Amino acid sequence: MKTTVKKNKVSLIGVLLDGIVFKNPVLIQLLGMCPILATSTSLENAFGMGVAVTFVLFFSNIIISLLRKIIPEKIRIAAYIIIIAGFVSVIDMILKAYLPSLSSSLGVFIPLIVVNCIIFARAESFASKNGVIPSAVDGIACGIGFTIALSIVSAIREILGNGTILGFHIFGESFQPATMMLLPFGGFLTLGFVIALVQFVTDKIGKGGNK
Amino acid sequence: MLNKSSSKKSVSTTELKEIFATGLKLCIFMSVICVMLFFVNSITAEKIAEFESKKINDAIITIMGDDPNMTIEPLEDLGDSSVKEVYKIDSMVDEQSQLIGYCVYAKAKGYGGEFNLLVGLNADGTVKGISVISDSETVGIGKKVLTDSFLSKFNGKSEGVTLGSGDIVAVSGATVTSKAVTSCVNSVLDFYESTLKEADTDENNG
Repeated sequence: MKTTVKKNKVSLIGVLLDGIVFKNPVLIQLLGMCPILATSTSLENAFGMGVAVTFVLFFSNIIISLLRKIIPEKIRIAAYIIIIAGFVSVIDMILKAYLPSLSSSLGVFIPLIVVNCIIFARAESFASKNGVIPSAVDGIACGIGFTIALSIVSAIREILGNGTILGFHIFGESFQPATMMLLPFGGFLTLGFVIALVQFVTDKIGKGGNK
Repeated sequence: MLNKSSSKKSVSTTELKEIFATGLKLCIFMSVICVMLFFVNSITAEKIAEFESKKINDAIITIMGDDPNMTIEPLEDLGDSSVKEVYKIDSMVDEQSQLIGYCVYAKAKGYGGEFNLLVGLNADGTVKGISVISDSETVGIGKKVLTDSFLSKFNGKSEGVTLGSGDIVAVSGATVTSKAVTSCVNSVLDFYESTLKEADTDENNG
């Protein structure tokens, strides 16, 4: 019991660093694999998806944290879904109205944020147990962590698979790209290498800190 | 037997109350979210519709040419599920309208979900041009199909276009999208044959 009380007084910087680096939802916790693989074929899409997820995470974390004492235990998942679906619909409508080309290229993956497991994981494991401000920071941190991971994977896939970055040809028009990197197979491959690299680096840092 | 059922009943009334209370809470959450969505929708709905119609308008002008005498008249839904909207394009000179052609807004089932094409038809029913309204095809694969180098090969075709015959060859690696475009164009041409052609001759006779 005492540990949970202590845990509630987490430092905001700690929460921020956890979300972005040490407990990165994608690269360390391996959550949200489906949107990572599906929307990482171009950096532009990836960034848009990351911002949309961050928006939903931020607001759903705040609302769930505010309502954490009102939401009955039995129906908490249903209540989370309603709240998350509400904000996903909001971002869907905003994107359609103001960024229609991004909205059409992300297609069904915007509505599918409703069942994104990162948002559920943060609602269940953080926002429902912590105050509003740490939850808001956690939402932003995990959103940024997701966006960074997605951007890294998509940048690699776009450069190798299409020879472009944000639509600009970097090797010249005649470059013959490896289309395989754009297939789901290339997504798994890239993600695997990125995760391996991150694990290697964090492992080194962890060991250095202990010594 | 009687005792059991009565005790069960007393438990179930408290349970019922609890169920009712949680249900009520869920309803309150839902109505709050609904109110929020109502407000966002009232702000964005107009912009979304405006953008959609502007996009279609621009595409019609790109396909049919920028003619100041051109009039665009949307036809009512003619009952084909693959065809979303039909626009009749006329040229108005001295209050004499002459048919230039039709633009058919149709959907196709691609690799990344549904995508929308605007197929422009000449007055004689041949394809004048194809424009992509929205798509979620993969960059570098499906998107290669949705460029002029593939789409312009349909120009001048009239009926029963088949992939792989003549100069229409599927883009390698993007068979699904290539097939989707072909079947979409075919359904538009079928739609012209079955509905638009008739309507046109009827009008002329009348």
